[in-house]
Amino acid sequence: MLTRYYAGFACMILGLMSLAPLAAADMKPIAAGSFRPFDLKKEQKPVQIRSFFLDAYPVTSGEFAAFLQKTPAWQRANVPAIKADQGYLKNVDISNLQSRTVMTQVSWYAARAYCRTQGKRLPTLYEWEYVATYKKWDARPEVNSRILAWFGKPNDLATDTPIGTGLVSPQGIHDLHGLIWEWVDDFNSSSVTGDSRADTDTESNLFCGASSLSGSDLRNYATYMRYGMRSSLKGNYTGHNLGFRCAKDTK
Amino acid sequence: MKKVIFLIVAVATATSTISCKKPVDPHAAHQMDAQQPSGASLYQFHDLFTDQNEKTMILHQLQGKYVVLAMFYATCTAICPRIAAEMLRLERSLSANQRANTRFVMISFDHERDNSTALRKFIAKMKLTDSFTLLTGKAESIREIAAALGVSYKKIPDDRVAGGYEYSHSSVFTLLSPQGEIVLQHAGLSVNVDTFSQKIGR
Repeated sequence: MLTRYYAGFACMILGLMSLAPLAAADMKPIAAGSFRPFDLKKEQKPVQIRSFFLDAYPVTSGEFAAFLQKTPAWQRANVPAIKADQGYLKNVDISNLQSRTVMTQVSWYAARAYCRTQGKRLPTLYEWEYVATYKKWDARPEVNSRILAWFGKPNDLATDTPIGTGLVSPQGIHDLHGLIWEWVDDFNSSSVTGDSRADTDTESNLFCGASSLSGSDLRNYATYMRYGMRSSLKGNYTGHNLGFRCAKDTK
Repeated sequence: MKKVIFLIVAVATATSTISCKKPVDPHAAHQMDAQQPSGASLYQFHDLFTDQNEKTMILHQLQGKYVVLAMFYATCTAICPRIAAEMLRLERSLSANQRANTRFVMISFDHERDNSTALRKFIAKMKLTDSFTLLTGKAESIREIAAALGVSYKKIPDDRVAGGYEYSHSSVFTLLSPQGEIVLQHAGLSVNVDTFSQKIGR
């Protein structure tokens, strides 16, 4: 009796799984490598990235809704303002566990908590940038033009956009560009450059650097926008276009 | 079958009880009897830090006094001594009453090198007064506080220094109310002493 009960249950689950499209929680292995991030000085060595797993898609509002059900401490009414500002979960349908629209309106603290409950973490800034600029795929005209077109869109569109509608990277990672901005674990390292110890005006340095970019350097322009955006954030900020995905160490 | 159903009900009940309960604060013993901090308070972070005297504490224990807060690391030779000197300058500018009501708190980025001994050395080197509390903690706790304050920092390799790394970081002075809410922030290398002083209750 018991065996049959379990067997039936298992079949039901398996059946559901095979019907469902690629589960949004799927992760892709990212092989170790090295790259030169945007904020690296000429004399610095390339940054080494260890192998890790990265979510193939950004977190959906359905996945986040399920997290909220299990973790009432992160429901809107229970989160202190210093960990999530007033925009937290605004216009996000948290009753729909099936929703595949991209999760936004989420603070860094909440994003971290979400990843932790999945046994994951946020990717580091360099991990994210490594994948997002892998072998300069973001410089391809079709990719770059899409990123630049996205900059011109009004910023309240992401909330209703399903995941998987953006570009796919060579490593099989979806929606890195042209859908949302994404939180990274050390977002608050991005306004600092190599020798800013004697100089707190690092943001203006970046800004000056940006103004000297030539028209042919639009790929760097997109990267610059990401670094600039991150350095303007605090951990409790939320935005229509700010979401996240999780990463995991390879064991 | 009955057993199975019972089990499911029992598990469901247990789960719902757990998830509906307010999370138990593991550091409750450290907390003072004073009022709960507001949602905007930095004292919503319950992580443990260690001060220069090896004492562990949560930030909530600073409640009741104004706090002038900055982040630094002890082996930093460029801007951190300046940050400390600015805090001293602010302290000297305060009235006796204000001084009695203000703590000066410096939280280190350098969770690896800055133990209590290193913090004490920095205090001695900079001739910091008894009004100063220097804190070190876990990497995670430090990152979360920095994110709340809008402080940027990054560990960068540097073969010229012991340990082989330094921190590149921004400088932000923050004034916290006695309840831990951010009253005033000033980014840069110098404190606007008058602005801070005006906000500290006399």
